[in-house]
Amino acid sequence: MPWETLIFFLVGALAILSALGMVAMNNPVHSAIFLVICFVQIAGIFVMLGAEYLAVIQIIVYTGAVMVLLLFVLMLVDMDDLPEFHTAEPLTRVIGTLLGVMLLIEVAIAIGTRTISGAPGTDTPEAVALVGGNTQAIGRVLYTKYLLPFEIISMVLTVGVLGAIVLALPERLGLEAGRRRDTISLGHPRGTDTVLPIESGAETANLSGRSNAQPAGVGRTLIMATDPDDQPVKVGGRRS
Amino acid sequence: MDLLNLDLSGPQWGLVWPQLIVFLLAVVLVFADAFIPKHRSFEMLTGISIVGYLLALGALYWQHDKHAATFQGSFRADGLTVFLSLIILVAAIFSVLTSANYLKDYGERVPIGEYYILLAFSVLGALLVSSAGDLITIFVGIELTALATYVLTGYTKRNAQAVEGALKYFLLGIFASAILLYGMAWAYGLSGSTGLDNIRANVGAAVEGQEWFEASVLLALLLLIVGLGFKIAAVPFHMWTPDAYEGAPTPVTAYMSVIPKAAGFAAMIRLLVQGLGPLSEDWRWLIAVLAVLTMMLGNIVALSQRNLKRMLAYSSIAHTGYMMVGLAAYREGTGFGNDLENIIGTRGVSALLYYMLAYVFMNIGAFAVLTWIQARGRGVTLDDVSGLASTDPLPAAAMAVFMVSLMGIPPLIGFYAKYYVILAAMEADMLWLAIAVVLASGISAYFYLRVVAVMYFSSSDVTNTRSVRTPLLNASIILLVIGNLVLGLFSAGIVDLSEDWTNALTVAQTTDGADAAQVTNP
Repeated sequence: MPWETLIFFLVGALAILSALGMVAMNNPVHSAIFLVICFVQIAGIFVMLGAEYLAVIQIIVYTGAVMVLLLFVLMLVDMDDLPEFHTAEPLTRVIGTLLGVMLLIEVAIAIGTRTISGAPGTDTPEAVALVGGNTQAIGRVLYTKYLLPFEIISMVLTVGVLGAIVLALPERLGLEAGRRRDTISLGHPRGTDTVLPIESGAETANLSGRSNAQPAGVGRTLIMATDPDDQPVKVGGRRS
Repeated sequence: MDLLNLDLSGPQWGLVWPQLIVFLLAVVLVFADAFIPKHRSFEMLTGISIVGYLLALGALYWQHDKHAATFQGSFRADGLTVFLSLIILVAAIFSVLTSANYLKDYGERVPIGEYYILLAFSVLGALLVSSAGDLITIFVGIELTALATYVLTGYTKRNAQAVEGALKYFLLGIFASAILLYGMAWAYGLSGSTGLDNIRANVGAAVEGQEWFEASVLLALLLLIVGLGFKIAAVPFHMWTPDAYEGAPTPVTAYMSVIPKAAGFAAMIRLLVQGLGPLSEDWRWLIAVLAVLTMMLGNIVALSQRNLKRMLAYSSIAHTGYMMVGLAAYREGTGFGNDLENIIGTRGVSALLYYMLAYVFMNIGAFAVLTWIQARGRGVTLDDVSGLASTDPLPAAAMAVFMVSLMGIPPLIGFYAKYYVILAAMEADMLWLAIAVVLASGISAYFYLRVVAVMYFSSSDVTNTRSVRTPLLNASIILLVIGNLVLGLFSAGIVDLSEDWTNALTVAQTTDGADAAQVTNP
């Protein structure tokens, strides 16, 4: 067995195992670290395919930027404060597992029986070598053939930034009633991090059905973290 | 084109005007929001939005007879582009009209400018999907539409239901995007190109003479249909729909029930009809089964809903089913082991397009009336509309028109839409599918007519209404009612038009020519 094959199996197995570990871990930080390992392995596979550019981008963008940011966020958020997601019922789990296995089998069959007469397109290894390597090749197609998608992605990123700001920004200053104060913090029990209903307005009627938006700290006074330019407020019961 | 001989010609901007105008609109809105004083921003931004969409609509006229591609095949200005863009832009104008008063009412708690900006980007994404000639353009276009819609769903971020709906929509949406992308990777792997015309040429050649289905092709089809099924809310991928529709602010629900769905169907038409058309004998069974499931489940679950937004959510699922019937009725050429010579189901796609146009008028109308009711301090359950006819006769009449149209009663547009879909199914030898449409419509009559009955024959017990002026909303409701009454009468012309245009899509391949011809088997 040539050494390339050995390395491929090693890298591939590590990638699969770390992906499994990422899903299986309960602690989000552990999951994130497994994901980092997985990304590094995938970068290794890119190198073996002769795609050095993608490998470097994979490391810089995913392992470097995205995952480090993700870890930052995870460390800043109190794990106990995260909402618990409804875990699936046994039947759902069984069906989910079955569907996953079926998809896996289907993929295996598809890979195993691929008899379609292949049409590899124009970007063959020889053509790539002719323009001086795959970095040059990517540059050549990115700004000609894929110019439009490339431009649209910049709009997608704009929308992402805009959306994050819209969703994360506190509501306009001067609207005391509309301010959300109880974000993170100071050792209050789970359940205090609630979304208080809007005082009046068109959507209020929707809320009347589900009134689990009740702070867990009802009945006692909690001092919460507030905006720095604000006085600490007492929360508990209904705010006037 | 290959790597050494790059096609360095710039894009033909003349072909891209409508899309470019919507993009400029988004940019102008960003700056206008920053520089216009706050107390005037509502009027200005609403005005700019409406003018921008109208200009884009006008620019479509110059695009309509071009039949050309630019951006090296990534962008196509063909008949399908124009017709879909027409639907999307009309829906966008009605969305702005519907949202305007709501936003003003709500305006001190939610930022107005960002709403219009996100709306414009979302519309732009849908326009780009409908004009895509390339897998990657389809994908990023869909993402642009969806990302903006996720944010709009959770726009009233202090409403727990809105946050819940947005989170569900977002998580399931990105999951579906991953599946779609995997399907696209398979399609690319099988054909060696991301260009839809090349995919068509290569897949058609590759499966010729195959006796039975090819596992890899089936896998690609499955993944693509599942991924897009999420986007158009087809059963069994509809789980996010009721929660997202109920939680979102009502004008956003009106918007998201139409434009992201139009984008999803645009992607389906581009991918399945234009790209994988030669396999239509294989995928149309998948689509047909999903269509029946979607129609039936949507209508049956809607029977038990008392919240009108949830009811309309399920009804919109059902309408997805009717539209998919149009797609299932598309047949062409040879699939595996089939020897059909000619395209026999061309009416399918045009029926789908006409249905989508009708759906814009029916569905945005229904949600617009709900917005009208909400603006007056009522809720959105059946109890809240009981006796509406005695207190507010005109909105009640409008709601009755929309309900009856959604149900599909003759002179209204909804009837003609269903008629063409059924006709297409029968022409494609799928009588059972046509019968399923009729049955599903029969079931739907109960819950649509219940709304009408409650409005007209129950007494009103709602007292705490307030009076507000909503001129733009009223205008949009009036226009939508007129659309429902009148557009049905011109249905033959519209369907012929869309048929001509979509035939141009499937018969005359791209004129950016050289690119398509050069992919050969080495």
